[in-house]
Amino acid sequence: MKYVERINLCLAACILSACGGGGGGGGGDSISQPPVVAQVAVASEPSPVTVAVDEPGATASATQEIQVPDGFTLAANYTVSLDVDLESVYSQRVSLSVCTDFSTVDSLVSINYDSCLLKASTNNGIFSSDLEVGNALDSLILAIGIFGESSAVDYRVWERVGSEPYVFSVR
Amino acid sequence: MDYLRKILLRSAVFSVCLCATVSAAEPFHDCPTEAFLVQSGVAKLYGVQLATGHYQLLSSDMGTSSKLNAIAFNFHDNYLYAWSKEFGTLVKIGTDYQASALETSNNPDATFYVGDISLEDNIYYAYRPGSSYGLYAYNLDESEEDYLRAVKIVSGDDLSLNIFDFAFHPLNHYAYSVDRNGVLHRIDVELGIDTALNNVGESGTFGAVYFDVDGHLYISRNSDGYIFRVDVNDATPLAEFYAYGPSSSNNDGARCAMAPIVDVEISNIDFGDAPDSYFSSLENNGARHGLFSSTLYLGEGVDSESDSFIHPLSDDETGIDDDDGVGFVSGIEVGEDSIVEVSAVGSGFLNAWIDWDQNGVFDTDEKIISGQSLREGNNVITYSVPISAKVGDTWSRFRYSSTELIEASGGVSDGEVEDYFVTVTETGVSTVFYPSENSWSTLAFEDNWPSIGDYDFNDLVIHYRTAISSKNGAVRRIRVQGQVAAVGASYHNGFAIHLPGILRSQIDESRIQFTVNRADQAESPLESGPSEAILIAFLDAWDYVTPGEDCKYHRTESGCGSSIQMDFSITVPFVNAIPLAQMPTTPFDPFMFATPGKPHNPALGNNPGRSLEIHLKNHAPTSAFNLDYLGRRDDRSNGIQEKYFLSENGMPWAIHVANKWRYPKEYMDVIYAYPHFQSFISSAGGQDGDWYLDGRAQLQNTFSQ
Repeated sequence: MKYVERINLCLAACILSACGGGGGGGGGDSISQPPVVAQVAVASEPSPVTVAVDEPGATASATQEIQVPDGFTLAANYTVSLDVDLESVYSQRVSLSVCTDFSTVDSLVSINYDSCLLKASTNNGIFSSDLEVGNALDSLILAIGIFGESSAVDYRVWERVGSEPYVFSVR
Repeated sequence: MDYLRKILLRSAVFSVCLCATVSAAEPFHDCPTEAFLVQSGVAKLYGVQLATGHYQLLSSDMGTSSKLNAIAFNFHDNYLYAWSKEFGTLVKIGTDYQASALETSNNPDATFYVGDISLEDNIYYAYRPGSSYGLYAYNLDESEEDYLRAVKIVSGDDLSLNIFDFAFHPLNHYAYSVDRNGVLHRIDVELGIDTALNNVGESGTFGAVYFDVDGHLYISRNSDGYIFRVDVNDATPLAEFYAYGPSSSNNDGARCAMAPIVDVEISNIDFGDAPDSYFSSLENNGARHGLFSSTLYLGEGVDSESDSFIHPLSDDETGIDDDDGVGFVSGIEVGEDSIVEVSAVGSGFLNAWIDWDQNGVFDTDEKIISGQSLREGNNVITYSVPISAKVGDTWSRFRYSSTELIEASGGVSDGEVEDYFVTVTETGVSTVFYPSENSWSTLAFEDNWPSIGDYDFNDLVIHYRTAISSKNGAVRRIRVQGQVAAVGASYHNGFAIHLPGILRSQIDESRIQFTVNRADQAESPLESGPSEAILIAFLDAWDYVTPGEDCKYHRTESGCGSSIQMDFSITVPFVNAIPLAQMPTTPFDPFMFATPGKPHNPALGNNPGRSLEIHLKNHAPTSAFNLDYLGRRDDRSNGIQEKYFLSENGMPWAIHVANKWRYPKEYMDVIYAYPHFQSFISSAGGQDGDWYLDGRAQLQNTFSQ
């Protein structure tokens, strides 16, 4: 669901690894778009493309031509280590939900809770877990459910900066 | 339960039976589904949607300064008829809502309060108890000799009933009513004989009674407006609460008994979509809300339907997902509090249930939120999870309306119902989902290994997600769920999930929960034989899916769309919780294999069966695999280097995509559907990590329904 609520938005610290660059194999030329004619939907049954492997960096006309950097597995995700220590903030049980689909506009937060990667709780404010995040996602939100006579929800946002290892630290 | 609404002094736009431009005294549309209700000392006419109890004023001026009673709908000419106190005679009412007096004769000196028109004969029957009165028949056929002449059938002493309306059954020619004490009566109007059936369990003044075409009797109680439904065909008919309707001290109702309760061509009701054991369908008196007002709902909006779309065929999956008003902020842990955030439009009341004992019914003691007033906007609500709640998946229902206290079934005139499938865990258990709790990732295979294929990556396409539940750093169970999204291949292939590093013996096999298309499977998915933990989801995709008409494959060719035909869910508990450090990371090791007994790539001999597996790149095969296959044809696996299932160029035969991927259509090389796939690969993931999103695709080269 999506909802809107006023909060004091707090960006979580994102611990950066030493800059070592990511990727970098396979040549430096930017990849141009495939020729327009090749983007038209094929109405009949074409034969599989059998063109020989082209030189690295050039636009392939078939997947078969693409040279995959050694060791690259086309992994769909990257890992984010959630590290929560709110012992000094909350003395009661709180719930922790990390979600990917959210928006924050002028401190108004809207979260789609169907997009959560984690549902957890802690009695002492301490919790940690590794999360697998899809490559296209660059930010996460932690919704902290505060139980009590008047329940409330607090938030922390994490944004991907730099390269792995990624840590979502919450203090 | 006082829900009296303000009367709107305007002509109602009320189903297709009303035409603003018709001339006076035109008949009503053929057999309208709505019921007519006349109220007040100066007659006012309302239209009532019995399914929800929604009602609205049709006319505050019916051309009389007094009451109208014994109103009836004439199936033979589509006019309303009633007894006018002012005119002392029958009146006829058309779409101008004006009562035109008819010249009746031989009338008793009485005002009738009970009346209806037979469906078999064009005769209006009116009744009043007492020795001076009785049951009378008025022929409404102009060609008949006794046209509009009262004929006494029986005296009010011989037929003495404490009733306030009756209605004719659509088929069996009897008139039915429920008296003040709750006794159901069946009246033979031709003979003037009453048969008292049983007590329906509700008492009061039922001033308006109606039938629908299925023979259900609806009785509306004056004091509170409650509408009850009685199946008179039952051996012991009982009144079940059906909807909240209008209350009035002076009610009389009429309806075309040949009409279904809801006009299927007019969708103005919101239904729930939980399985019908929870009462979701119209037939089952399911939870439903009238949508005549657009100012009271949850989330971003509400869609309308004429009946429920029961999960998994919910229109939330195939159309508009209007179950968007409730956010489950926290997990649901046994014995603990839990938080939901409810986004409301308009001020109303929330009632909600969770089926804690998973018995398929929202029991009375499973109500978690009762008549809670919500303000417009976001509302944070805490509820308690009982210590007796069962761990596992179950259904919940949230109902929002202007009526404060409602039950889990039955109709209300406004608001919305949203049903959610939720998971209950033990106390202190955390769950990590991939890609998220309710979304999918995709596994896409080229099945011609060890030969390179056409790289359309749709020979087998699986929607896939996982959940890992742990406590205190140890995993108690995992769940793997999937759908067969496409089979773009002639070969027969199965699908399995290997848990690297986990032994078969570590799994509590007797407690595995395995469903296919929501049905529990008797056979364990845990593969017998190998010591590894391998879960077989299916042996042959073609056992479950079909090509479209004039299609060769399943959901890969243009014009060959269909709904998903196979889904599975496997919950795997461990004998002893496994330390997180020993658990394989998601997506674990999913793979496809050749269906035993079926031919496959000729490079592998006859019917390779389980000895042929295709894994994600660099995932080692299981012990069932024939290692002699490695390196054949285009494969360049090297076990020593721990490289598996890759070509000379390093391309895999299987990819994993982090969303519900729009895979290429049949024979379409993936780079023409996703031009940025190449740069993603060439940069080893450094660029275009989002290559797989719809927004980066050449969608015309992907499969669409």
